[in-house]
Amino acid sequence: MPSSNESTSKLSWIARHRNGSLYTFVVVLAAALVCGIVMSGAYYYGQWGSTAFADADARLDEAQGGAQRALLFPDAGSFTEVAAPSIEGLNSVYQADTGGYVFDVTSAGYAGDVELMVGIANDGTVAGIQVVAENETDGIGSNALTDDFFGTFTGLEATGTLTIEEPGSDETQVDGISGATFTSTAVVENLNIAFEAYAQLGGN
Amino acid sequence: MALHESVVREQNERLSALVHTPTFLVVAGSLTGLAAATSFENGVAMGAVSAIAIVVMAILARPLRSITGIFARIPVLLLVSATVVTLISFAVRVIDPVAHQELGIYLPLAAVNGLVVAFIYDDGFTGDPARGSAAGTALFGAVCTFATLAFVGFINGMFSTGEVFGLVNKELAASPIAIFGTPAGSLLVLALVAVFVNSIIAAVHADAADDAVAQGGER
Repeated sequence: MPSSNESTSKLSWIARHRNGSLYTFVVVLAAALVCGIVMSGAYYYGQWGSTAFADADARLDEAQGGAQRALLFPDAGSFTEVAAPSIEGLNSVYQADTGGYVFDVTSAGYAGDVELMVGIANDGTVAGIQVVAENETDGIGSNALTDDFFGTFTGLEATGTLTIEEPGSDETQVDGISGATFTSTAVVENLNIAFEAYAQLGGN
Repeated sequence: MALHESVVREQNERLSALVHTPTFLVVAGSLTGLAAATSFENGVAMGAVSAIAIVVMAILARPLRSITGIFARIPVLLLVSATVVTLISFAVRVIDPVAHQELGIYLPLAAVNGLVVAFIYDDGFTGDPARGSAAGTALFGAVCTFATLAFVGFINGMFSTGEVFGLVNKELAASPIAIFGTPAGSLLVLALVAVFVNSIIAAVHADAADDAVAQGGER
């Protein structure tokens, strides 16, 4: 009768011990360490060791921005970035082949910055507004970031200074959203930045 | 009361006959990526990620089995498949950041495909058309997964937006058939694909049966 000891000794050390608790613990721990090191190493290389992730994020921003710019000027075939005037809060300026401008602007809202795209048509009026990024409170501040509120500015002359408070000289009062004063102010401030940039680019 | 051993064996054989088919490979490989295949581009990206995960895990299955016991196998395969898919998602982020943004959390689901294939490859699963070759079967599964998800994405994109390759068919998108653009519709498309694969299998078996009859049948 064959001896079980002989068959056991023919197996490798791993084969004999791999169902043991200590071996299991060590193998799982080693696998977790190796996988963690590989993943963190790859992420480190992509994020800091090279510009791979940064370039990818820039391409993503460009693609998403392009989609939003197309919403402001659906008839435009292409957009070209132009040199942005040095105005605080102005991030970038694109010009459509139909002549309109798209201003990417940022102002402080209630819970952080509110970044918008403001389209100004070549007749000097507001073509539309798109939200790029915001952190406003849902149901409160976000009420000032709706298409309905943005629609009240469509067709407005892109000139002068807007305000939701008591207007001074050279200021035009516009309605804000009740209960969302900070966000309404951020939207109006963004429009003012876009108007100033448009004026510096030779607009109204 | 435990079933008799012969009953269990018969059940296992019937189940084995059911799953050792190309249709099972196609369905198992594509199922987890269905909800993400909402357009042709997304279907291709999800299919590519799933296919690569399947091939890599099939390669790693045997070496990992040789060093892991019955208690460590599942955790280690899980860790490795998650790592493989994370590395692939980094590559997708660099190659096509828009697809990476749109697929989002569905990308890690491809780890499930890889994990399943690692288990069935481990068990020596083989099926048509690569019967007898576990590697061939895994490769066939990977190719079918890619093709199926790309096709599902194409159908979903066409029916949901009425647009494919820049050609627009708005009437289609406005009709009730646009339900195919939803994840539930993806299951319907996958069912159609499974029927198509079954029809090919039936045709191949019919040809083989005809050849056997032509040669005089059993001797």
